[in-house]
Amino acid sequence: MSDRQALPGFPASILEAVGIRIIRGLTETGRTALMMISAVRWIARGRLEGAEFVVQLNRIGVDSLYIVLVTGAFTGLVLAYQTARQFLDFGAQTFVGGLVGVTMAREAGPVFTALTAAGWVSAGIAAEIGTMAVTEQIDALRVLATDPVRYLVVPRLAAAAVALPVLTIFATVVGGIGGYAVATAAGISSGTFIISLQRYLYAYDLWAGLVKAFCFGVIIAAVGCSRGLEATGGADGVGRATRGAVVTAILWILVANFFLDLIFF
Amino acid sequence: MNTETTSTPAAHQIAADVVVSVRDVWKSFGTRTALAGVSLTVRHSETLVVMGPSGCGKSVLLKHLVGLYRPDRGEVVVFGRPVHALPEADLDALRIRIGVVFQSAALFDSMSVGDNVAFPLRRHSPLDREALARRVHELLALVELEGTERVMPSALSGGMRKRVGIARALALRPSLVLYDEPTSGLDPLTARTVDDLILRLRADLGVTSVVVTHDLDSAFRLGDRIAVMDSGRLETAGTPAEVLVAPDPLVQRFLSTRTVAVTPS
Repeated sequence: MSDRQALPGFPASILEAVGIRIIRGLTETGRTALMMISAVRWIARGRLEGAEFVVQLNRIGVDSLYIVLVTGAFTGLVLAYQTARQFLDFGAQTFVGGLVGVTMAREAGPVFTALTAAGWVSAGIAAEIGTMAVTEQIDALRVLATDPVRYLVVPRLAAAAVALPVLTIFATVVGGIGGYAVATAAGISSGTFIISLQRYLYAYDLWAGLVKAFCFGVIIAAVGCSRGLEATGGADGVGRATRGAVVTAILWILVANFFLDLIFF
Repeated sequence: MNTETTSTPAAHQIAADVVVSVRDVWKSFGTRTALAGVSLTVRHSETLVVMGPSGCGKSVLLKHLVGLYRPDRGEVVVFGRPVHALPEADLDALRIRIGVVFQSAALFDSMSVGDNVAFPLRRHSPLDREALARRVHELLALVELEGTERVMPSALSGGMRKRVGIARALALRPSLVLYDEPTSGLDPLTARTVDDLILRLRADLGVTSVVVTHDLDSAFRLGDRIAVMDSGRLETAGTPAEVLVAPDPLVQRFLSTRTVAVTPS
């Protein structure tokens, strides 16, 4: 008996397995794109569920604040700790403030905030909407003449798109403060750090970081909603949707970050 | 076999008192055929019970009536409108005239009982705050659940959840109510209460009803006509008395488990 017969459903070849993954990925991307088109239509018509938007803004923004602050602070601390030690050896301490500031504004602030939110927010959205899907609540919305995209997706997209840039500002500021604390403790004077920050950090870096955060917010909510809406098969299906949302959101954030960097910097 | 999919001309040929017309509907999910050429009609103020063993396609048929599923072939006309061909946006106007009671009740678990019942009213009626509260109270009184407005669905028993689902389905005074397994998972006493409620609603409000069930007692208690399905096919249909003497062996085998005494006339 061949291995294939011994393991029913086992892919005939690696090529087949890769092909299945690609088709699944394209199907999911297509579904998410269709959902986004529908969401953009509702937004263009000005049909935002105000109360639901506020609830989601609180859940995505306020509830995520503490984990984002911790992530931002420790990112700044580590960044300054590593660079201050190295740069002091070369007598290049005048670059530390700028390096910490630019890195936090362009990359560490938006990307680490987004990756944290991918685990926290995207998983939460996928689990919530996925549970609604497997318990017929999405069908109930539809038969009550309420488009699930309008009622569930649009408020979450809008809230994440608003919340992520704000969270990124907090993460960047806290990271900068953490970096300042470590750098001055390592022997770099306060003035040197601040002058370096002023010399190398431009407003453009901050704006570009916030635009990136906006894009990441859209990705996080879109992936969470899409995976949730497609959930089937009870608790197991919700679990799969949640795990899938986190992995997909992280991948999309990393890919999008690369292309956004190519555009902005 | 009718393979026509554009049904507007056919819709005009349907008798005026026919609320639901299903013609040669086929539906498959992957390789599994859920409906294989089902045809039936439901007339005004009539209660049609669709019964059959689990997995025979009853719930799939019900979901076609409200546009949650689209047939692969055949046509579904409700209130003279071709449900199978209407775009999602146009279905909403029709769905407001149809109440659906889901098998799992499908209450929104993030909302209280009162908010669940008020949900369709808030979205599709011009009622002010006070009138809305009165209507919610009236609907909950109808299902004998007064005073539960602030209770969360998770705190309700299965029978109470079903009754809240019925109250929500009736909120917009629908002319057609679809019940998906209204008594499944309930103890006999609670099941009887739900049956009595459905009978009372028909007597008091004169709504047309389609009840999907595998509960024979409920079927014979509620149905003006009964349709028996098996493996996606309609095996027989007629008045309870006609179904009792139907020659089909499957129908007779299914009926042999019946406990309610009904004498053929």
